[in-house]
Amino acid sequence: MDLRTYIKLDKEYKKSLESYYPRNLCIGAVGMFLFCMFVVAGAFGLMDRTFVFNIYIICFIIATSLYFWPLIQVRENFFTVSIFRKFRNAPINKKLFIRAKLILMIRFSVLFYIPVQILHFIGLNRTDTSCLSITGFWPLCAMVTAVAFQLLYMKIRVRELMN
Amino acid sequence: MEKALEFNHVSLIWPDFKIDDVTFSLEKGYIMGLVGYNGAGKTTLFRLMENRYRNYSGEILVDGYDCRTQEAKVKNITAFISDEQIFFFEESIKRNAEIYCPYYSVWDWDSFYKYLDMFEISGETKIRNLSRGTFLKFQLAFAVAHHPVLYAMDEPTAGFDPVFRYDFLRIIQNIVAEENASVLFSTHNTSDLDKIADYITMIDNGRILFCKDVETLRDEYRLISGDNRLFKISGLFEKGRWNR
Repeated sequence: MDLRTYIKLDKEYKKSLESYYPRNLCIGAVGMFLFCMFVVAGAFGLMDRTFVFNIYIICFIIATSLYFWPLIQVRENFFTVSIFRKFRNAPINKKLFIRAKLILMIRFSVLFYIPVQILHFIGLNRTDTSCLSITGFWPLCAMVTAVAFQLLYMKIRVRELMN
Repeated sequence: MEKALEFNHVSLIWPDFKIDDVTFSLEKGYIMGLVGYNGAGKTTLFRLMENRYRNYSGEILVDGYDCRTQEAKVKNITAFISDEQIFFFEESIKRNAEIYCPYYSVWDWDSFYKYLDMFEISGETKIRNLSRGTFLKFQLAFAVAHHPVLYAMDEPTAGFDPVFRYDFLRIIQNIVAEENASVLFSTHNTSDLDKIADYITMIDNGRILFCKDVETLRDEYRLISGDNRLFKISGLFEKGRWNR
């Protein structure tokens, strides 16, 4: 099996999950909402403050996690369990299995980032924000941070496959 | 004869425990029972086969494939059956099979459903709703579906009543006969060994004490029961040790 097949299987698995982590969906939805709110807030010039940027990053992470978390963990009773543990005895190529998830993660973050960035610029162009050059790239910073955060989280979870 | 499983001089050293030069093999179509006290190293041997510990010396081969370097190939032809929860708890039996089957080179839905029917398990039942015994049977159905060369079972019958154990062992025998597969199973129950094992391997403190076929063991050892006084009179039993 090649990398493409692993990616395809991951996508199919996620689509068909009956127990598609509803708690995560709710958190993600709230994150999305807050994220959108801050994009709008940015458009009205309320964003050139550090604490707002921090919230902005958190919202981005939560929103992108909506897609990514079900690929690396599942809910079991009250706990979340790593999917890597579930595949410990399956005949998988571990490297490709992990790489497929990484590719999906980065792809989604980038796809999520592009429209947000466009909206951001449109919003900023309509206001008199003083820090346009900095705030204009907040979505990019948020995306990079989100990817780094998810990568770190995945590294922790992957240990259950490698050990 | 082709070998389904080979342990060649396998050693693993931890600060408080070691697997010491373990060497044995199992031919295709045979059943081997692995016995030993708690903490003797039985589960460690299974984990070594699963490639969960890599810093061992020697080699472990399943159907000629090295467990360390050809892990995916080994797992494709080995069915690991244990109490460990490696399936998706919140998903149905059928959905679990659908998730895992693309990763196996061979998957036989007919066999899967045949065994599920035989065990009277519905494919729509969620794994979390299965009892321990039914979960064990489901694992067997799942294993048969990918036609493994080797079934590795870590204490599969522990904690079950004799009727269930008898049924389970009979099923194992049928599978071995039908599939020409091999079985390595660990147990504390010597009556299980009596019923189905062709070979018995005894491990103690990380070392293999013996690996012999059941007939040889029966020739070499006898079980004598009776009052200690009788043994003393006959001179069979002295200072708490057998004296042949």
